[in-house]
Amino acid sequence: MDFIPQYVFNGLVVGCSYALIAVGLTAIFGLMEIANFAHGQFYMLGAYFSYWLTRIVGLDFWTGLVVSIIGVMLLGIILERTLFRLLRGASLSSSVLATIALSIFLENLALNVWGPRPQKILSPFETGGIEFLGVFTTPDRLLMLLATALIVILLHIGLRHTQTGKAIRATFQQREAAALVGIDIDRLYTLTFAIGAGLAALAGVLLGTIFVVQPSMGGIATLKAFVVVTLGGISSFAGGIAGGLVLGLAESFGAIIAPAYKDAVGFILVMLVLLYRPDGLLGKKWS
Amino acid sequence: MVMTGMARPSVAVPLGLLGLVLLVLPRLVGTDYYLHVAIISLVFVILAASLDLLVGYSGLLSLGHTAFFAFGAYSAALLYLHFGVPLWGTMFVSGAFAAAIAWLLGLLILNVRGHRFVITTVIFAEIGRLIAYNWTDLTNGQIGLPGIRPPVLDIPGLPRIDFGGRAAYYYLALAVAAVSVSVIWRMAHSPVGWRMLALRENERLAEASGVDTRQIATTAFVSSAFFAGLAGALYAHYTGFVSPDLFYFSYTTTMLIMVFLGGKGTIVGPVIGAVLFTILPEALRVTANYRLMIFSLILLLLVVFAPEGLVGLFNRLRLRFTRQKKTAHA
Amino acid sequence: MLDVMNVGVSFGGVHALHAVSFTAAARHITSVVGPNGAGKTTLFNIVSGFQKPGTGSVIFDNQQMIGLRPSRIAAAGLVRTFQKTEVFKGLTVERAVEIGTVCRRDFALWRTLWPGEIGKARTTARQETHAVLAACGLAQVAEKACGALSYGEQRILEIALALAARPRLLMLDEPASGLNPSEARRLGELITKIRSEGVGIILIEHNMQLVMRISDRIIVLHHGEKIAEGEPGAIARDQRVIDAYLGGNGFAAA
Repeated sequence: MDFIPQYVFNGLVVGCSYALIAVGLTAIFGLMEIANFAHGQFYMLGAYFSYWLTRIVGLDFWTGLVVSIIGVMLLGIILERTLFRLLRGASLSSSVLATIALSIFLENLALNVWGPRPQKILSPFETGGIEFLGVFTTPDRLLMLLATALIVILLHIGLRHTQTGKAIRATFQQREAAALVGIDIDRLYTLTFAIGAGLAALAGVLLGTIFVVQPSMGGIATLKAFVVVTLGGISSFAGGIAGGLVLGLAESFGAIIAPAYKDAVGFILVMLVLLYRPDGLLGKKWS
Repeated sequence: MVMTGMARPSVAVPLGLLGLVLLVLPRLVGTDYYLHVAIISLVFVILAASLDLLVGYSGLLSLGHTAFFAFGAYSAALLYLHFGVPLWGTMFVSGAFAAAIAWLLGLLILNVRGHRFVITTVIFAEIGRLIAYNWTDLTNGQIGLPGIRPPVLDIPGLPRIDFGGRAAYYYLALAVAAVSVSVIWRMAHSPVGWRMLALRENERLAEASGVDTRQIATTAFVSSAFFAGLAGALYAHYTGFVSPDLFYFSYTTTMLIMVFLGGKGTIVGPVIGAVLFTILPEALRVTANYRLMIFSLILLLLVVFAPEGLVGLFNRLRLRFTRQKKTAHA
Repeated sequence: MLDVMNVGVSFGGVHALHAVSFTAAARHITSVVGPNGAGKTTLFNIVSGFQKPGTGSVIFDNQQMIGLRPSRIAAAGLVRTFQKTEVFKGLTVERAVEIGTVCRRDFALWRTLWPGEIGKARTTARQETHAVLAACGLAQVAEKACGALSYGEQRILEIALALAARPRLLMLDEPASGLNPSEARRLGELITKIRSEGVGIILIEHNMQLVMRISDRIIVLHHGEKIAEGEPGAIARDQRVIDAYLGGNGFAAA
């Protein structure tokens, strides 16, 4: 069975994008207690900004990458300052429905601006297929793995060793106490939201060079991110990353059995987890 | 939203008038197009009312509701195309089929709440779509199943009624919608509905007061699915065609807007919302692409700024008006 | 009426409750007292079905209550209130109590379709609601939203909601917490009135004046164990109780 490493590799590549998106979602959900059903649209917009900047405006890939991410982060900040501030303390129904509405709006905005046809972001690399550790891959895929690993390290350092990082972790665990201690909650929320959006955008750009860019990719990304969050619980960033990778791998292997239902692998996993562990894989019963 | 009493007797007159208008509608509007809009709105009336039981009364944010609608439509299509079962039969089988699926799904997901519940309902609809799309032997996949004919009524001694015409199908849909909504309304305004309210308002307290929250949640889930499935059959026999598109989230969005526009937790509100929201988009004639952008914006504004919907606003205005009258007399 | 036998539960290796046994009779007010963290609310949670014990049994009217859903236990006549005020915030007082009157009894789905059945249920609920509201002195706020009531009124409303369920044994978790002395006195009168109707009452309370005045029997918990049981006078003089309250815990009797 020497194609197994290939499936593992492919699964990890996709899993990395899931991880980047899920981490942001976990942060927003855990910190602000808002179920952001529009999160996947940052992924979509990152991809489309990059497409627009490189293919239409004519920038090179790397500049386009940076500008796209900054653009999505700015959008995230605006949304956080307006809509999400209104949603603070709102019921779950309100935040779910409002963010779903936002998600549909953004998806159809993209549809109207860029059209329904799938597009592709041109790779910055000259070479096509290469062989790496016995698997067939492309430089873009390797870049995805590398970028994700880098982000994970940066996140780890940032959360553990910077003032802001510690503040985030403290607020994550105990919001009221953090406010009492003098942490500027507003600024923290905006920062966290922006980072989450930026990470999703990064995933969008990188994956957009590997696969295609289309308006529906945001909605699917949101679903997958919530699958990760549901499976792993919302208690930790590490859970979000690990969960994303696991989902990617599961889908990759699921595709061996039933390629058409690949997306459903995660869905079925969620159903199974709910059956045996109604509170996610970690968590306590209601009482 | 503060719940007040039942409908007062003075509502009977406008209701009677409305009933009269509804009965002579085909004479009033005449063209097939308006009747088409009317029939579609009646299908959505059933869908919105059934969704209100879940979202409005029980507080269960089930966002996969269109799946039950689609399952109902598909089962009607398959029963008709393979066995020749007419609407009279498929209506109930579709409802029962959707209810059974809801019951099974409920076993899995009704012991969770919050975002986990929500996402699972969305996922469920996606799984339904994938199945409809890929199980081509059964469903014909993307192409869909055409050729589902409206029923005829053959009662010995009476002339044969063919419901193929728009006006005839309108009356059929009107009857089905009227019965469905009144059943849903009665459920909501009975001790069963009160238990759902208790579940929505404070689940722990409800349980401590003697409400088996698991059971009442299941009841809400299963009965709303029944009516959604029934609406699916009604839709299938009218449009004559089912496809995996029926599982798309856009249908759920439409139903949600109807529920929130009219006012969740009132049954009457979503009914009004369904009629308004079927007519308005047709009246505004915006292209399909911009349509969803505008709809989603409307939903966003409703949820954030007017969650009580039209009925809630109406009640608030009425309260203010009666209070003014009281102070005027004082 | 209620027989709690050898109930114990531990969390993460720590005994929250250990070998607690007592009985509660009809027409009796049994108070459970003890310093914070003694396990009183845990005891309530176990008896009312919201938590599972590690050991022990709870017999109510010769029926085992362990393992039953809280709603089943409430339907059997054993109704509790919560330490943190729980009401149906968005509903009017009247509607909330109406719901409370029907919760206990099953209303079969088919009856919603039968003409007249809903009206009948409605009328009965209305009548019972008015009786409960009058008994609790809440008749004048019937039209207000539950969330709009004052704190003291909400605490009384909680008891009204519990009464609406026609309990045979009522378990009140710190009903007097946050009440001023006159409100607490009014509460005490309400509780004794309920007792005179034949309902048994178990009370968790920190307000010792109230406890001493109305209790027939007092049970003292400390660190999850029962350290004393008896009439108010005897308990007040019990050295172990005095030590528990004034000793290491730093908790003084109110």
